[in-house]
Amino acid sequence: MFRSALRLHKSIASPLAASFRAKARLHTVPSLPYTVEAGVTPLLSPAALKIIYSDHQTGLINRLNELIAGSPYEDKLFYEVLMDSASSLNETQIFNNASQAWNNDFFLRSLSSTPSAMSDALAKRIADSFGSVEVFKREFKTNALGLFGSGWTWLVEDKEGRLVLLNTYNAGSPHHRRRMQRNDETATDHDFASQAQNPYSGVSKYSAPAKLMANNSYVPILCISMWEHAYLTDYGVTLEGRKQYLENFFKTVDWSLVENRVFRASGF
Amino acid sequence: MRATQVSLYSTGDKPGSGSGSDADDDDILDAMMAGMDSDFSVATPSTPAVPVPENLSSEESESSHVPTPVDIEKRIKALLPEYMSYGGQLAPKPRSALSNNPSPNTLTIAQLLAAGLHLGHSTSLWNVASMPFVYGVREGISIINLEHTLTHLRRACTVTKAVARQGGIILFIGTRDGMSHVTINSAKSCNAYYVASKWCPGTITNAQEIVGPHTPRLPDARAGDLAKPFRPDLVIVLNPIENMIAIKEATRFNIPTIAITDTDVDPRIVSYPIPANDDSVRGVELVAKVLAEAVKEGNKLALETSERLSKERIEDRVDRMKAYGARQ
Repeated sequence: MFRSALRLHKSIASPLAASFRAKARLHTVPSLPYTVEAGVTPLLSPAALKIIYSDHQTGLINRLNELIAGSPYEDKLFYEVLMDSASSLNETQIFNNASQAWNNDFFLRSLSSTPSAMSDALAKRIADSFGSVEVFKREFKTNALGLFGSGWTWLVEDKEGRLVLLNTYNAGSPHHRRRMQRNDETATDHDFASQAQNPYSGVSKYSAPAKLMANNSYVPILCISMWEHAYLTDYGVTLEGRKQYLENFFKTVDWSLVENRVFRASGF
Repeated sequence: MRATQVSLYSTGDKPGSGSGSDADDDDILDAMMAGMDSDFSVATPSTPAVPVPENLSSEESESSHVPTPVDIEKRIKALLPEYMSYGGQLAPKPRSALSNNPSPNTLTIAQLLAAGLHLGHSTSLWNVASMPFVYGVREGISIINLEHTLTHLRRACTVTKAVARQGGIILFIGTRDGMSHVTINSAKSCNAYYVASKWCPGTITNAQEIVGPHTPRLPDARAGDLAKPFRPDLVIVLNPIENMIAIKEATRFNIPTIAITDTDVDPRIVSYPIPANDDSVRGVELVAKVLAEAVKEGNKLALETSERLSKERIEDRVDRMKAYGARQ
């Protein structure tokens, strides 16, 4: 009897969501701290950012919404969808889309056109694990260039408090042990001596050990997208182009965000 | 030579000579590395390259720069709000289409006015203690200030929702003739209790006599055991002037009370008065529905919490099993 007309329904902004309003809650693409038209200098031009964000991220979210409609994942938060679908092979598509969307967003929102410089505390923390910031940058680049194919290169913290590097291929995620897609867990032997001849093997002494760890073994701190669509527009596929991409990456990372992740709630 | 290699790139427990399948590789490597290690400028950091746990005790000296272990579960939990913000944003929950009940946060004073909640009693009958809630007088009756009505209603809803969330027993009392359907429907819609006909004195203070005969006994009760009736945790009275005894009983046992207090009632007799007109069926129905909606929301939260807790308990147990080496 009462007044449903007078109650205000908050309409959801996304046009896709409007058509589904009566049925399901949809995921929407989160906004970036910078505009797509401006790009993120010097790393991504507006055209590249459009491909990564406007096309790729939106496509992933739309596909995810399609996939979870009517499934038990329907009303779950994004991170819950990611972690719950990771353990099931039937929901591989859901996990892949969710993980790629998460990785992409994590990557894009760590960038800034006016990044803050690395603070001394963060530099010391990196130096504790790598020796020096220069070594960290060099090893990061080496790991990223050694990722043969599409994937992500991560800086993560492990339970010994050490910052290590991690390569996850395709839509691998450091959150779930079975979905890291590192392509090297089955390797029985890593001879770091061979790094001298093959610096681009993708593993080094600064990499996370190549074995299946428990869940919640790594805390992601920073990542870079080594998917071709990320660097193809501005840098091409040559080795020099990708080296330049990594060079520009370090000029674009907002180190205050990284520091926040490393030091927030530290002391545990 | 091999010893030099191991010390330069000390990989801890990897002598390299053990595995038979890599013997050839090692020989080739040895041959290639024979005179060559000095030519390669491979990174050798100042820190020891061995990431073995025994180095990481907290008594380690400053000069070795070895990071201290972290509690990674806590680290991830601390960073979880940030991690949950990445990827995609889930659209906010729409109001349930099945519920016709208005929410206190979207109620407007115009709605309260339309329901007639502002019409107090004749000024000759007023209770002085209700004066703060009276806006003025018109045509011989006191007009209740609907801003106070709204704020007090919202407060009552918060209390109700919190009690329901803790799993508390909520009792609706509404004994006027034309309003029994209001009491019954609003209570039934949120799985609460109601008294729609006369309040029997002693229902709370003498519960054993009055409610006891109707209370089911515990499954393991011995013969001759009395049933133990329970007390409500919140009492909502829709017409307090006829149910003073109920309010007194609740107060005696420290049970919080909510009531629709008109201008002829002292609002201080209940814990959370809602100054409004208790004569209009439309008005009372609006208030009862809003409170019932708050109870429903509290019930839903309680259900979510208990589901989450049981899921966490199960996962905790599975983690502990895995730590002991059980296969997944």
